Amino acid sequence: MREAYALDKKIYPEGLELRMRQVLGDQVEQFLHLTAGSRKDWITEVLQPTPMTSLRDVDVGVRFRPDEDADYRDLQWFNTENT
Amino acid sequence: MAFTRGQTQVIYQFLPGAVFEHDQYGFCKISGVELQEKQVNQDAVFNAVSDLLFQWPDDTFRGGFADPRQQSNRRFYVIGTPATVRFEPFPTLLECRRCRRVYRLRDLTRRPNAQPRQCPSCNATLGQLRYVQAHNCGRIEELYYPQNACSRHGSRSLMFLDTGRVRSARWRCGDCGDAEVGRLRMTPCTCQYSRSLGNQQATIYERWLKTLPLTDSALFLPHVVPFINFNEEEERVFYQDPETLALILARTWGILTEKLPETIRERAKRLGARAEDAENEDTADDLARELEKVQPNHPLVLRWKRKKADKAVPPGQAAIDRIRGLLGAGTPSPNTPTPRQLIEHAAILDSLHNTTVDEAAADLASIGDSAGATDLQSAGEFALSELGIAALKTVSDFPIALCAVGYTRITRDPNRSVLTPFETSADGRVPLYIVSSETEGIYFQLDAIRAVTWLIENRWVQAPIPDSKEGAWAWLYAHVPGLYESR
Repeated sequence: MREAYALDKKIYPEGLELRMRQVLGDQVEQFLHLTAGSRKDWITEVLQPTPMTSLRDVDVGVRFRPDEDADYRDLQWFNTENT
Repeated sequence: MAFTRGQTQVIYQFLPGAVFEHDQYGFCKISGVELQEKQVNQDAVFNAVSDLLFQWPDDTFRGGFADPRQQSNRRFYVIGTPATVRFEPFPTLLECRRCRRVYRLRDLTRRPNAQPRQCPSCNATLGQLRYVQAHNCGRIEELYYPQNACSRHGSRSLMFLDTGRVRSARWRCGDCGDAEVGRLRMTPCTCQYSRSLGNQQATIYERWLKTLPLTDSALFLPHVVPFINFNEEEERVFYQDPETLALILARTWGILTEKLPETIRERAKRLGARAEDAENEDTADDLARELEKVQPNHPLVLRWKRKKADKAVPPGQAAIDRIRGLLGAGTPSPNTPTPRQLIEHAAILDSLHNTTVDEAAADLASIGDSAGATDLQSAGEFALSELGIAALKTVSDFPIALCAVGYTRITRDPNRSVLTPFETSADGRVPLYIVSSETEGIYFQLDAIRAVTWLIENRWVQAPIPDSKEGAWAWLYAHVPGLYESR
């Protein structure tokens, strides 16, 4: 992997090389954990990303907030954090 | 964590009038959605909105919408993407999870020492009563709270017996030994839709407000229309030529092989130049004609003749003539309005990035994947021979957009519902919520001969089968109204 990304060849600035090594190390480590901990039969099944389950995964988020005309004291009757 | 939803989710589920379950505040009604104004293709969006609105045959059932087919009415609309959603808890009837007593929020807040979310009788947790009433006109109400149903105890121990059926659900008084004190009220709505039904007994149920659980999808039915959000400036070129319709038909039917925007621009240039030349070239023409008399094959004479011939026939003219030949008396006259779907088709072909099967196969072959290229070409041949797909392409920058126009409740049926616009903006304009994106698309065009053959063999139309592709397209244009009706 290091060879594929042309690391250790002194072609990247030092800081960038360091960061690339870190990212590569993290990714390889994650891959090893993923495969070691999986109960799937085929490695491809482990590596294929799970399908997106929600449009929230891809869409611009829109924020929700209580109406400015709503009475704060009334809102507390519905606020589950008060339970 | 802040409660957020994606823009596309907002378009379908979280627009003004919708009821949803908030992570923190329980069931809520959306009171408003702020929008961020956005420039979109106005003709495309209003065309799509008009198509939707005019599915409601009775104009009083879409009374909140100005007719967007008239340019001057478009100022009554504001178009934008949803930016922030405002909500308020709804409904406000609260039920004790332990003793089942039901309270109105406004009564609870008046009580001294009342503790939010706590039952004043048993201190257990209060939750919302999960029913509301709604009608086909878009009205939504809380359940009627019969505060004086028990003549002795009023609403002190009022409980709701939820049997899951409107007819058998009951209000009971706990202090009277759970005695029944009332049923769910069946209220007729006085809306335009109810009035249109008359007073016959058979329509009584249709006139009533219907009791629905908060999770019932019929409570909020948004009407969302897709449209193709082409660049408006680039699209304008399609309207510049009086022969646009004939040219687009020629392009669609494969008669015109050059791209349409270039053809139209070149025609405009050539026709403009011809008028200018007519004024300037008189002397040159006279000289050329005199020379022709003496030396008919002089190179200058030949060049002059060629130029004159080129100028006499603007680009695309041969294609227009071919269309005239095919359609005969049915040929669209110059300046006939072009149906939007044909403009969109031409814009897909000539203003977006398309890749044909052959081009994709050539790409694969160029990187040494000859097996992949062969597979792709075989798939293309299969699509033509087995599925009747004559053209297959990918479109890499398809500008699709969704527009939420309004909502109905109970049903989507235009004959049985009132289309309600979303809450108007501060300046009184009706909001149209848009989400647009540029995405990939697959373009396919059916083989015209196969389509015609199928129609004839299945006896939809009795006619001889045309023998050429162009003839089949002309046949379809004459017999399939959707292809020529303007919208």
